[in-house]
Amino acid sequence: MVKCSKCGHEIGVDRYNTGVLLPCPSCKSPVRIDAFPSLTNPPDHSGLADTSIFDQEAVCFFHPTKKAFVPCNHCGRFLCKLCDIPFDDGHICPVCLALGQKEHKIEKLERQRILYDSAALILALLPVMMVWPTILTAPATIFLVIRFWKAPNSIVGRTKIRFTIAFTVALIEIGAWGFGLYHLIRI
Amino acid sequence: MAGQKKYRRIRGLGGIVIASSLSTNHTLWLGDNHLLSVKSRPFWEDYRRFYYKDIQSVICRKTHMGKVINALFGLFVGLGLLAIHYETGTVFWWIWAGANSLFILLNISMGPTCVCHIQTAAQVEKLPRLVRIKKVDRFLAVLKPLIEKAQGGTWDRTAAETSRNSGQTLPGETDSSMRHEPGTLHLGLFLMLLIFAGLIVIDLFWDHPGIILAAAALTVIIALLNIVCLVKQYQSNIDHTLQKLVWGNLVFVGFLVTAGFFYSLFMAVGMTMGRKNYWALAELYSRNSPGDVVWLQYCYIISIAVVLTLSLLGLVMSWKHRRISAGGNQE
Repeated sequence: MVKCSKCGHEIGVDRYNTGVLLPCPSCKSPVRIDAFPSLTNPPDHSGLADTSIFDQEAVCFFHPTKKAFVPCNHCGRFLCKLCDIPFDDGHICPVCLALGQKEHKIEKLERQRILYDSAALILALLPVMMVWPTILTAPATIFLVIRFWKAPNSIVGRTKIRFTIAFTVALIEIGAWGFGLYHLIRI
Repeated sequence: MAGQKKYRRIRGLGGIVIASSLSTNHTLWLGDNHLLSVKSRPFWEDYRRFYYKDIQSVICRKTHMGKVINALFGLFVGLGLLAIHYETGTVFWWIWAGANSLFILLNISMGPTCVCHIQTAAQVEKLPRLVRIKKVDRFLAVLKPLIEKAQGGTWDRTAAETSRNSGQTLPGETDSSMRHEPGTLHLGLFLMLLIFAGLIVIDLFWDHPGIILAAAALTVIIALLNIVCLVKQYQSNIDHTLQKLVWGNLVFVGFLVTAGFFYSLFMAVGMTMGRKNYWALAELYSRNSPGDVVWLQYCYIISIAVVLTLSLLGLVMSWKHRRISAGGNQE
């Protein structure tokens, strides 16, 4: 069931879905619990041990002695109930799952993404306070923008505005350095 | 952008969030079949997905953080009013008192604070974005229909009670209770802090190098004890607000140590003649009486106020935690 997030005491079902904060029986902290059907519906484990196969029946690609249940949505291999991994309203085999995560081919398996646009923006803006590092960071920013312009961005979607601002600022910094060096040489 | 079609942001969860780190931002997004929690840092993002069909419950627990914030800002307003009463040229202090009063009003308008967790079969995860009960209400108003649609209806209390009465183990009944921590060290830490506040008060009225050295030694002990408390409270059942107080104390002690270091350095450079040792430095330090130096006076008053607030709040919360822990052990 559900436990209090402060003291870990189990909270009775009579306190679920009341819509109000009720004191925990143990620590008296006001707690509100909104429960859903999956709390009491057990997962379906039936058929996992099913190994009987008959002639002309498809068998699992990974377990030739087990009956095939579903095909993998990605590679099409037949899978038994043990190998089938329910994923994103479909079915996937362990190999596709591992490959998808490793090679970032399945977006819904990604747990982390590098934000090159934010990195470029910080690289362009932060050194401006100290002035001198911009002679190195400005070209580095330009490189970052060009190199990673087409790289996958945030999963929730972002425009290229950060890249654009970083590129513009870096160009201004390079221009300022060029202008300064030109006048220095002239003197 | 393809990403914008896949996810929509949950509106109404914006506003001021007191994050554990200023460089981290937490947002919540609704996908077609899952809730996406995004932790954004300067250079990368971390994602956690909670599929609607897997979500068992949402647990919202009210905390005292809102009251603590009100108390702290109230103290600042009180300091400002005190300064206005004794000081001429009070424009700065009027602005100080006014700004802090606005923060109090803003905090009250945002409603009570809370901590929100989402439970699935495998885990109980905190949703850092949801720190106000009003935000949790808006969040649930959007999320509940999606979960109920994915799970085919609302939660059946009768089925749960029947299963419970028949002795069945229900899914989600994993041992997820946190490590029990009695809170003795936390009580000791805030007691030390109270003693430290007393030392500062004494130093305000009586200049003696012994008090300076005692305060310095106590600061080191408090800093070390603070770090031990942080280790002890990690993944324990210590109250969330109390944990935040310990962190706040660490920041304040760090600031005191740093300020004290630079002030001592400044004083040491000025020691041109005579013995050069810690006692001589403490003597020189104690000669700068707060009664003579106005800015030093304000530093002392602010330090006393902050230390007293932290120590008294911490003592009360630690004592309450120990009482609850003791009650749980007796059961």
